[in-house]
Amino acid sequence: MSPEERNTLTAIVCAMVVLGGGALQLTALGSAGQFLGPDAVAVWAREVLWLMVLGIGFTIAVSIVVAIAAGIATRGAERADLVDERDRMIRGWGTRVTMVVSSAGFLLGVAMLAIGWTVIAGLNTMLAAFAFGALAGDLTKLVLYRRGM
Amino acid sequence: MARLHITNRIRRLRFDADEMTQKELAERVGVTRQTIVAIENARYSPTLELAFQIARTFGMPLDEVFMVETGPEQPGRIGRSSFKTRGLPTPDAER
Repeated sequence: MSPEERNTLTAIVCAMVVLGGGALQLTALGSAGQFLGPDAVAVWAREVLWLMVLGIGFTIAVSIVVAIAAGIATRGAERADLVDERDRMIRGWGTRVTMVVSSAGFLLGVAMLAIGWTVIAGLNTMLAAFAFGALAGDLTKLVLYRRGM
Repeated sequence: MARLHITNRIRRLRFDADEMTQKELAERVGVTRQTIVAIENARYSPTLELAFQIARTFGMPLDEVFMVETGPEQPGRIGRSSFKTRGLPTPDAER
């Protein structure tokens, strides 16, 4: 497994954990009525900002641990920072998938707002779109690494 | 346009070059070992630049290292076979 493939796998696992945790947290707050009232959007935004900070921190921490573990496992035989043309090509495909999924979800969120859904529902849809877009891009990369291109 | 299936003789050439490892070849051409594995298994077609670098490593012309599979025919050299398959005049014929 190349360093980039390993990073992709790490990102997928972290994204699933963060997405799951975030969804549970937002659902719990919604059920408790936190997203009702005039400051609902501010409460939502503060919660999402915290989730983003925690998610980024968690992903960085896991990536560092995985990189150290991989370095020990391979006894430093492979350069962890080496990115070659195949990695760049696969990254390009992943980015395209991320853009398509994120854009489609963003449009869906806007459409939901346009037809009268609540602001929180629209914002959650857009947030989910970007999160799933990143996940879909990473999954595409993993498939291309495994199956070839 | 049908996609050409490119094969190569890298595994054989490595063996002939003092059993050069995939890691050694990867280091010489500046890619990861996994990319060399993918190229050898025809799961990735390298860019022209990388293909030339690999060929140069073995001291061979490009078409001695990479071949294009031309359907019912046996794998042939990139230039002549692909010209024939597409019904185009070969480079010799243009001279």
